[in-house]
Amino acid sequence: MTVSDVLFLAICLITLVAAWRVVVSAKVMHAALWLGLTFFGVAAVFLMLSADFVAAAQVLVYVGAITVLLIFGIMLSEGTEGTPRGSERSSLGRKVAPVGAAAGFAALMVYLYHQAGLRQPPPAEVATDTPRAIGTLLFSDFVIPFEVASLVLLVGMVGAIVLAMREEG
Amino acid sequence: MLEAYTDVAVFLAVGALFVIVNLAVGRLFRPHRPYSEKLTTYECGEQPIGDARVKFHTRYYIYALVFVIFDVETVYLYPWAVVLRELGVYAFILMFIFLIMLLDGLVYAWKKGVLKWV
Repeated sequence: MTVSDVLFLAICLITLVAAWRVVVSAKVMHAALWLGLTFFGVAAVFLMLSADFVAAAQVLVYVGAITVLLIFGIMLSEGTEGTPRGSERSSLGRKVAPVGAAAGFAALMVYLYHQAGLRQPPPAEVATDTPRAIGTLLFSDFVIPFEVASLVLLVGMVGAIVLAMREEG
Repeated sequence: MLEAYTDVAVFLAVGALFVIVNLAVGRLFRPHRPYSEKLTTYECGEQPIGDARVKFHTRYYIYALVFVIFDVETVYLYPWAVVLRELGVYAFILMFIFLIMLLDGLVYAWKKGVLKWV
């Protein structure tokens, strides 16, 4: 095993444990914080795949914004700290569903790996400095999509404001 | 390629160790004599009333949503900043248009009184 193998396994272990803690945490706020660590672990995996820019975007948007959004959502909801999560869990379906979902996901991954032509030798040349490559493409071939993205973000923001203000009455 | 991120790893490790080591050293040296008054939540000398978890007003959610939008904008700024020196004024004007578009959204939020403190 090389150093990067060990690093990869360590990152995977941290990410999986964090994801597991998201599911089993008794307090929903703790679950949100563990989710932040999970996102961070995924960013580290992206980094190991030489996808610098995706890793940076993952940290900025998911660790930064989505986690904050979730924590805000929890703070705005009725406090449920009195009743621990999962105490209402009793029916068989609630026990079978997660196992079924996990098995289905595992089967899909195995299928993709073996059948869908994803099992190719790794490229000889690994892309480096992806932010530069993306920046160059963004301002040459993808100028229009780039500017349209700002419009999409604007529509998203206005939509969120309209919905939130309507709720206010 | 990963070697370039050694600095980041060192930062993370030092940051984590700083917390762990300081708390561990503190635990070793401080006296440990808890009683109920000491363990109550500190609320500026007042008696704490109710649970720390209260339901916040829904309109604060809009701050989080606007933050997400501007965070995504920041993601676009990153590759732009990398190539700005090569592409010059052209890239600058394109990003200016991009930012003006989003500034409209902020002006709209402002006009709607979203940013008002309540």
